[in-house]
Amino acid sequence: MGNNDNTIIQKMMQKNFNRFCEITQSMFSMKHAFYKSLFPTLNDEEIWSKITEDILKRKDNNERPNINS
Amino acid sequence: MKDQTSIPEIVIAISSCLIKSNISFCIAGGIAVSLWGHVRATEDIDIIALLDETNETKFISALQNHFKILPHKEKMLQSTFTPIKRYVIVHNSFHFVIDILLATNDILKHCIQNSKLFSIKDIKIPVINLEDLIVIKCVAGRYQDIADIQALVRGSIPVNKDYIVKQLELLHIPMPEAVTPFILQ
Repeated sequence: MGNNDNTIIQKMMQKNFNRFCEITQSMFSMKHAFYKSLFPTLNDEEIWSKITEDILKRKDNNERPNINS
Repeated sequence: MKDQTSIPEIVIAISSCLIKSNISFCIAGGIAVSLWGHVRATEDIDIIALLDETNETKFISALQNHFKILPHKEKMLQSTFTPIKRYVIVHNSFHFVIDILLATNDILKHCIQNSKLFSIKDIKIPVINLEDLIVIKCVAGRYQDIADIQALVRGSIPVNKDYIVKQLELLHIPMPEAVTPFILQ
């Protein structure tokens, strides 16, 4: 890859990274607001713990059976 | 969302801890997909790394300078039998999941060697190459992986499709049907 191409790709990646951070942060904010409405008595630490628990549960169940079989 | 550490700070801090611990790695998963042009949110950070007991201790100790770390069970990625080290890091009550796929096979080692550097805030973060990312996603083959492949192939960055076909042939892994028209067209 030439230097010019590399500069273009770096610029694109930086732009994409900024946008990625914005939307990921917004997603977590929405999750927090949603869980807070479901569990108004929980504090922030407990809310984040619940959100993470659900993320991990979904991640663990989302995997396809072994592809090597 | 109160007192949340910013996402860029988290990504940069984790990468910087890996670099300081002399761990060969590359960023994969949703962050890599976003960097390569299909920008989407993600709930975790996926990393491929050559991790052993010594450098893991260094890494954890470096991480502890930034975050509290919650203990988590090691697991296996069912699609490839790849061991995963999982950490849940906490900063200002915000929790974030780090999955480190241990580069125990040649495909993952190749992904690290073939990675591209992404410069941000004075550090250079290795990111999985676009084609290797697509290959890894063909191997995983979950709904999200297929959607990512379709978006990446249709994206603005030219994809070396021959490389993908060759890599999958080498691995004896069939191309998922849903992506065949995008790769073989």
